[in-house]
This record gives sequence, structure tokens and C-alpha cells, in this order.
Amino acid sequence: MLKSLRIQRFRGFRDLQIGMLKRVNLFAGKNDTGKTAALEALYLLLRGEGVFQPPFAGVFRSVSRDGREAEIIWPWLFHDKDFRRTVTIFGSTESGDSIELRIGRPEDRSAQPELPDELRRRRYRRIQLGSAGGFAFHVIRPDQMAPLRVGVFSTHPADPRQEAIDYNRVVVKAGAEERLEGLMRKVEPSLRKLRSLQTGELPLIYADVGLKEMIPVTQLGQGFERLLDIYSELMAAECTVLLIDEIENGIHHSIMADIWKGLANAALDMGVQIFATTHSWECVVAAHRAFEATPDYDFALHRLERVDDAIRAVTYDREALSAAIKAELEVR
Amino acid sequence: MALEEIRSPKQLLVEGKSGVAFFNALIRHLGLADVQIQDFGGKDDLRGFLNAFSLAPGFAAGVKSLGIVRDAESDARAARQSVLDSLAAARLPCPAQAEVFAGDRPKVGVLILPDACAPGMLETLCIQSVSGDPVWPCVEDYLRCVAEKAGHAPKPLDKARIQAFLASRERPGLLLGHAAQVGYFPWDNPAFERVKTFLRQM
Repeated sequence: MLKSLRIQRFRGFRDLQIGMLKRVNLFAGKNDTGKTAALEALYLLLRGEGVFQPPFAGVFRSVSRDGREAEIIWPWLFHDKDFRRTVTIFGSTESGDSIELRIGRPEDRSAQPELPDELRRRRYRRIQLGSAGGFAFHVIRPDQMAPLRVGVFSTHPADPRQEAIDYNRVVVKAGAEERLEGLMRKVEPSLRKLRSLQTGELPLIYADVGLKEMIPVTQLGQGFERLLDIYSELMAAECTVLLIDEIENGIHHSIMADIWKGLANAALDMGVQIFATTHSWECVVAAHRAFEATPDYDFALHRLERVDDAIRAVTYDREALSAAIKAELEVR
Repeated sequence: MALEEIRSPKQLLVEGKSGVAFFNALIRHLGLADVQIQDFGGKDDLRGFLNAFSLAPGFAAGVKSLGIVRDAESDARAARQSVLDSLAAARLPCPAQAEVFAGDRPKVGVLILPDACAPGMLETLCIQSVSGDPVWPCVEDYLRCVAEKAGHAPKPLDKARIQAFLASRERPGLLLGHAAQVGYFPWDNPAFERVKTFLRQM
């Protein structure tokens, strides 16, 4: 699990440091303060060899369909579009290890540094992940550290076929189907059961909500589908990190508390670290309340804000967030 | 839901809704339009409030002056020390001298009411300002009579005294903050000088 993160010269971040990461981390902040960029940095840092598959361009943002990806995506990863200065993304883990990503021009030595003796002794390796847009990507990590499986939920609509595959991965586990249905019933109380069915070319998830026949979940609310997607990924337990952009998307504030209870329990049970973004006060309050009910309050709110032309992170621990909520002070 | 946001570089933290209304009236009287007032709740909430407030959007970038006003209650020295401890916990400047601003971005000042030494509260200060009013002896007589007949005095007595005084106005029944807004306290009375000096330093 990541305990700290430092992002240098990446997108709008000159040098962003977050020193207190928790099991579940919620990023808040005004528009254009880098919430999604922080998720992108985590994605690039943690995906390792899988960083270019699926194509990074479409993971969090709309994809250019006119073949100008190299022009539109990659140069803009650099702060102020300054390619002369290498992007560095650094994370330290709970076990005392570290992982570092460098992005830069192939001829630039700082993009592919020699390992210091200390790291060599600790059996770290520099691995070339590949290149994109004319830039080289290298990661420095312990030899035995495997790439993490990173689940991503962007603001794009979910892929129904992938949903069905994920759902099937969940329901083969004993008791998982009932648990998933129980969680989803918080969102849709009339839900009786979920089924993955193939009535056409592709499998789809159908829900029995008391109608004459089961309805494809793509025809239920956006929030239902999104949460089913997130819970399925969590319960399949094949990812170790979840990145969720605008977690409140499509979800009514009145059920945010139940959503966070479900996420908190699942993250703790499955050992998954979650990074999510939000614009919603109700979402922040619901997350705080959900983690207040857990033994360790393994949660932190990080607000990104622009101060003197740089973006910095302000982290709220339990005491600070509790006081802010009580006084109804803005935290986003 | 309307959340409190930082809109001004000068922030004054006061105790409770009554304090907010009172100080709003006073800063309007002084023409200090750029002072924004925040309610930190009760004395036991100040530590948490300062912690959260110092993290709030706009604090680091925008707040240049921070004033904190608290009642002395039974011990002015202990009240001031409690505020200083809360400031230190929030990693904010701790002014060495009472009622003098110190530090930088923000500069911080602490005002204990009714003054830096005596026990009491905002009501005590307001009483000092109206104790020359012709009806004041009636207020004292009334509360003396109450104590005799009931066998005990109301606590805190200064809250009862100010309510009894406000009951004598043309519009009875106003709470202290509202009374300040309709002009029932004489701002030019010497009792308010320390407070006005403090606010003008912000």
C-alpha cells in the first residue's frame, strides 16, 4: 500500500507532495487543480509493464480520433510542456520500499538514471517500460515487486461486456453473489437478483427488479451500473488499487452513506487501496461517517489547491475533517 | 447547503451566533468592511475549528490577519493560554502579548473578554457600556429581589443582567447580538475602546 506520493513536473504539478496516504483517499478541489491528473500519475506509477495497455490516452480523458495522439496527449504530461525537465513520480510503500517513474526524452540521462549503490544493494532495478510520443518511460522498483493490478473507473460510460465478465468473476466465489446483491440493494431496494445472461452476441448483466422480465442493468440508472462495476472489481479481488474519478457521478446524495459503507468494508476486507476524486460535500461527509464507524479510520481527504501559482495538497485527518464538518467549513 | 468560505484576508473568529451578530454590528459601526466573522462554536470547539480552518480553501493563499475573541469566563489567563495552545496545535503564530497582533501570513491576535485580566464574558463588557444608563439601578434592584425571593442568583449572572437591561428597551426581548445591531449599546463608550483598538489592528 502506498504511504506517500510525490509528483514532480507532471501536468499542472510543479512539485506535489502527499505525505499521509491511507487505505482510502479522496481528492477534492476546485476545477483545474489536478484531481484527475493525480489519478493519472498514480496509474502511470503503478501499472508498470501494463502502462500502455489499454492505451493511456483513453483511460481518463476523451480520446482524439484524428491520429494526433502524440501531439495532444504526451507533450502535455510535462509541466508547462517543458520536455527538457524529466517527469518524476515517486511513491513509498507501507513496507518501506519505493517505486519511481521517470518520463523524459530518450537521450536525457535524468530520465533513465543510474541506480545509486544503496538501491543496488537493496536489489532495485530500473526497467524500461517502453516509449510513447517520443518519450521514454522507466520505472525503478525492487526486483521482487510485481506490477500492481490497477482498476480504473473514469467518468466514461462503462463497457457492458466487461461488466459482465467482471460480474462472472465475482459470482464464482462462494457467497459473493449474495453479498454483491446486498450491496446493490442499497442503491435499488427493489432488486431481487442479478444474472449475467447471453441473449444476443454479447453477455449482459440483467437485474430482477420485480418487472415482468429481467432488465439489462444498462437500462437502470447510471449510478447503479457504475457501482455494480466498482463493487464487482473490488470483490473480484484481482486489483490492489482502485482509481475512481468523480465517484459521486450518477449517485444521489441520500445513498452516499451506504455506498461508502460498502466501499469501506470491501476495501478493508480485500486489502485494496482506493483513490477517488469528488466535487461533492455529501460525498465527503458520507465517507467520513463511514470510516468513523470502522476501527482504524483508514481514510484521508486531500484537497488540491492552487497557492502562489503552484498546486499543493492539504490533507485532512479525522480530527480536522470532523471539525470542518461540524462547523460546516468548506473543504473542497 | 451554504458552507462557510473564506472571502476576506481579515478573519475574526468569535464564540457563537450571538458573538457573530455583536461583532458584525461593531465592525459595521467602525467601517471595517473587509473583516469577515466566523463562528468557532463554543470554547471547547476552538482547537478543532482552528485546525480545520487553517486547512480551509483560501486560508493559506489569502488570510493575512486572524483575530480570535473568547470569553474569559472564570479565568482570563487560562482562557488566553487555551487559545494559544489551540493556535500552536494548528501551527499558527502565537502572539506573546495580549491584544497585540504578531506573526506573519497570518498575523494573529487574541482578545479575551471583558479584558485581559478580569473574569467575565461579552455580556460583562456590554454591561460596562450601559451601567451609566438611567434604568441600570432598576436592573440591579430586580436581580437582587430575584435572588432574595428565589434563594439563588441566576448563573451566569451577567447574562441575566444584560437580559434584564434589554427587557427595559422599547423593543424588549432582543438577544444580545440583535440588540447590538439595532443600536442598544453605545459604541462610543470607553468600555469598547480595547475591542475597537483590537479590531483596527487587523
